[in-house]
This record gives sequence, structure tokens and C-alpha cells, in this order.
Amino acid sequence: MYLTEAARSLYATKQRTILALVGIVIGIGSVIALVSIGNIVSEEAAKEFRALGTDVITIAMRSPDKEDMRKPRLYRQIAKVLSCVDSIAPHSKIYLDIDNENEDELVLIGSDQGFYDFARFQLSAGRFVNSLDAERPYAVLGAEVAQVLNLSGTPDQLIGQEIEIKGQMVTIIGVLKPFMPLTAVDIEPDISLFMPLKWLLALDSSRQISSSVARTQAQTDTAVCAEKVEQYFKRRIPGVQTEVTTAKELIANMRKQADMLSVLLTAIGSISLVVGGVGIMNIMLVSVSERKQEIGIRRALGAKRKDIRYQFLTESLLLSLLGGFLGVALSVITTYYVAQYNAWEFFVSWQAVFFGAGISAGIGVFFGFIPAHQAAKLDPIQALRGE
Amino acid sequence: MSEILRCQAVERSFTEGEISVTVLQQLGFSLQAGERIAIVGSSGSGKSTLLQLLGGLDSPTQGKVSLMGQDFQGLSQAERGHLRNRHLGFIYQFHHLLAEFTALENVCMPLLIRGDKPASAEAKASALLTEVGLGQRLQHKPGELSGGERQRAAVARALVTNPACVLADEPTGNLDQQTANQVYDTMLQLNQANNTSLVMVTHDLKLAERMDKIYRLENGRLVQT
Ligand SMILES: Nc1ncnc2c1ncn2[C@@H]1O[C@H](COP(=O)(O)OP(=O)(O)O)[C@@H](O)[C@H]1O
Ligand SMILES: [Mg+2]
Repeated sequence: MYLTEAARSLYATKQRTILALVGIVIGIGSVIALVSIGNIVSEEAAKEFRALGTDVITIAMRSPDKEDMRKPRLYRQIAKVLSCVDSIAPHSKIYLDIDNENEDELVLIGSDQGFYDFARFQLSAGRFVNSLDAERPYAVLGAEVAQVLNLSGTPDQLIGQEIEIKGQMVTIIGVLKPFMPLTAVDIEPDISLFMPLKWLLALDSSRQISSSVARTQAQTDTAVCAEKVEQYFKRRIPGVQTEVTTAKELIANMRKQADMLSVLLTAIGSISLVVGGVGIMNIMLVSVSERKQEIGIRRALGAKRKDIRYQFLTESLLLSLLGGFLGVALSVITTYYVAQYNAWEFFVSWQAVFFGAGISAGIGVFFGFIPAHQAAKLDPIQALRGE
Repeated sequence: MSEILRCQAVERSFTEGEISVTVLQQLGFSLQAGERIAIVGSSGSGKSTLLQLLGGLDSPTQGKVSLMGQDFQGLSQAERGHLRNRHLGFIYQFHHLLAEFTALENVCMPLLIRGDKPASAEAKASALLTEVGLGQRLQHKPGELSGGERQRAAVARALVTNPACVLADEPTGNLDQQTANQVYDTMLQLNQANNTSLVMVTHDLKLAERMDKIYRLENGRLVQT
């Protein structure tokens, strides 16, 4: 009985009901949407590692003016010296500003066969660069590079064409198939040009190989291997600063960041929920004072204070649950479109949905209590007076 | 004959700041089952105040009001509500129907508050509404009814619980003479059929004369005329 009556009172004051809902819908909607998007992002990152493999180690190094840091061989030897390392891909990158209307940016990556093996690229034409290419001006184009550079033709037709890079004529020797971004090394293959590492180093005598990725042998402990890799570089390049990270650590870090973000967003969302709750309380107080007569009549007809209290509590509960429901719907829709836009895999975080439903119910009861109490303690005679 | 309502040495005064106004004093009266009385008196003499005391909505400053032998003073708010719902019906000058609800739902309300099942409440309510001539108007909201129809719906609401007594505060005060008479006839017919007592406050002496007794409220006391 309370429920149907609450529903019709809310329906009778549609406009006001909708206004009261705005705060809570936005509050709940944004919290859940943000939490869901956060979950999807960290899932996407984890997916990348699942595709690359969790046997990956990234190595970042810095050393003051060391010639050793420019020797690809020193890196390549590690696979022979340390049995736990399967392959290593030292690389170096510079950004190229393209002079077109979109002001696109391409990335030039100096690398060799090791990088191709590491990422498990696939070619649509030609071949990848390797260490035998030494300083030769050869380039392999990422899937979208030809378009950015305004080159026409099928991948096969692109092979052999020359382009100008950093003032030098460079020959295209291969074109890659589209490939997912490698966030672990901050490289987007599709908008990258891969050239021999030595060519890139020759451009600038102060350039160092500051970053590498390695893959460990099967059945070895990646963490132990990472430790060995670090020791190796410290021994070979005295005074070097290294930062060796395993895929597991990277995933854990990303998760941690996502979790922190969730906590932060939840805090912000909670504030908007409190604002929404106060909105509900306000509307309910207005409703109580407008419906004094109704309360008086009900009391005169024998309704108890308890009945009046439950009536108004039910109303605010229903109001906030409705807000919660709309908020959840809003968040699911938002998340869906954000995921679509970014080509992420869409999923709903059920914890967030239950959290939203629970919170909105809590808000309804908490912020509905004061108005309900006021309604219940109204004096029926006063309420019936004042014509 | 059993006694429905009894007032003993009732005093009701309102204090506002320093000033205290005594509206009712040394008021005694008793109402028997099936008895129908009119209360007349000038405006502001305390007629509405008296009805609220009789209904247990208000408490006397001194003295005792009892309904069906139970002293309101000794009862909790919830128990008063229960007693009111069981034994009393109210009709006001302004119909006091709830605007958001249909005539049928308004009449059902006291039954639902009492805890009746919706189906049986609706059956009783629609039967009674038909008796007062609103059989075609069950689903209309108060805003869609004429003044006389609203007041008849209010009569139905007061009587639907088969109360021992109906308290009516100028029930026809807002209606033209002819409509007032019709509502009045309906009310008296139903009262008679159910042997319900009636306490009616009115300005209209012609209507008052159709009751068993007429009391005048003067200087805080009831005087039979
Ligand atoms: N809650 C109250 N506070 C102060 N004065 C009141 C209150 N209720 C009634 N009165 C006073 O009591 C007197 C009688 O009022 P009422 O019973 O409404 O008169 P009637 O119904 O006979 O016209 C009036 O003077 C009114 O101002
Ligand atoms: Mg009055």
C-alpha cells in the first residue's frame, strides 16, 4: 500500500520528481561510469600483456656520457651471456613532425630484428630491418604511415620508393600490418617508422640506447631474470642507472593506478551523491509542507504517526532508487559509447552497479528520514486548519 | 441505550505568550447511540474546537472526553488513531478529499488504514458511493466533481467504516441551499439506516431543526435549546 501510494504521489508531481532526480542520477551515473571505464582501461592494458606475453622485461637506462650506451652489440650479447634471456630488442626513438594540414606526428624508431621478434609483427610487404643493415637508410612503415606521408599505392608498390627523413633520402623496404599500441614501451606501431638502430645513432653522437625490451626463456622466473639483467648492465657499464621492470610489475602498477583513480573518483562521486541526497531531502521537505492537509486527513482517518513516517520514507526511498536506476542506466550507456569510441571491449562492472543501487537506497533512507519525521510529528489539527 | 461520547467538565484554553483565551469551560454533555444533535453558535465560539476534542485530535486543558467508554487522556497517539478509525467518521466544511486520488480511492482510504484488503475495501466503497448517487463517478478525482458531489463523497468516506458516530463540521456550509438539502438528506438517510449517532455543527437553523436536539455553544458551555 505504501509503495503504490508513494509511486502515485511522485507521479503526481512529475516535474519536481524529475528535478530531484537530476542530482542523484548524475552522481550515481558518473561514479559508476568512471569506475567502469577505469576497469575497462586496466583490462585493456592487461590484455596487451596477455597478447605480448607475461615473459616480458622492459629495461630503461641512463648513464652520463658513456660510449657503451651506443653499442647495440653489448645489448645483443646479453641473450648469449644470460641463459634466462631469450631475446632482447634495444631501440631508440625520435619524433617527426609532419608538415601536413593535420599536423600529424610520426615516430622514428631505431631497432633491429629483435624488435620484430619481440612484438611478433606481421608484414604486408617487404622485410623488417635487421642488424646487417647497419647504417643503411632503410625504413619499414607502420600501417598508417603511408597515408600520413601522402604516399599512394599498395604495400607492394611502396617498396623501393624513397622518402626524405631528417634531410636524407630513405628507401622503403617493408610495410607492417596494423598492430595494437605497445604501451609498455610507449610505441604505436601503426604511426611509427622502423629504421636501423645504427642509422639513428649516427644521426646524433650524443644519442644513447635508453630503452630495451627483452623476453625471457620459457620456464624461467621472470623476476629472477630481471635481477640478473640489471646486474649484467651494472657490471658492463659502471655508473649506469637502470630500471628493469617485469610485465607482472607493470600490470600491478597499472592496476594500482586504476584502483587509486577509482578511489578518487568514488570520493568525488560520493560528494555529488551527498548533494543529490540533500536535493531529495529538500524536495521531500517541500512535499511535506505542501501536503500538510493530506497528512492531517490521514491522521484524522486514523492513520498512525508510524504510517505517515513510512509513507514518506517509502516515497524518498522510491525516489532515490529510481535515481539510482536511471544513474546506472546512464553510466552503462556512457561507458558503452566511451568503449566503442576507443575500440575497447565493453563490459559492465557488477560491483559498481550493486554499489550504486545500495548507495542510492541508503541515501533515500538517510535523507528521507528528517522529512518523514517532520511529517509524522505534524499536529493533525494544525494540518487541517489554514483554509 | 449505550453511551457513545461523553464530556465531563471540559475546559480548553489556548495560551499564546502572556495571553490565555479560554474557549470552552465546564462543558459537559453526553451522546447516546443513534442520537443526532446539532451544535449551533456564533463564529469563533469554539464549535470546531469542540469537535476536535470529541474526535481525540486535540486534548482538553482540563476535564475528560471519552469515546465508547474509553478516556482519550489515557491513550497513546496510536491508540487514539485506532479508536478514531474504528468508531468515528469526520465530515468537514471543506470536503478534504485528497486531490490526487479518485473518489473511490478516497472512500477506500479509512478502510485501508484500518488494514482491510484492497478488494473488499473497494467493494464496500463503491457500494456506498453508489448509494450516495456517485455510482458513475467512482474514477473521478475531486477536481472533476461538483461541490455537492464532493461533499457526498466525503459523507461516504465518513460512513464507510460503519462508525458509531459521525462528527460533521458545517458539512453543507459551502453549498447552496438546494444542494445542501440534498447532501443533508443523503447523510440523514444513511445515518438512520445504520443507527449512527451524529454531531453536526451548522449555521443553518432550518437544518438544525431536523435533528433530535439542538445545542447552542455560548460562553464556552453547551446549552440545549
Ligand atoms: N490552535 C489554536 N491556537 C490559538 N487559538 C485557537 C486555536 N484553535 C482555535 N483557537 C481559537 O479558539 C476560538 C474558537 O475557534 P473555533 O473552534 O475554530 O471556532 P468556530 O469553529 O466556532 O468558528 C477562536 O477564537 C480561535 O481563534
Ligand atoms: Mg469552525
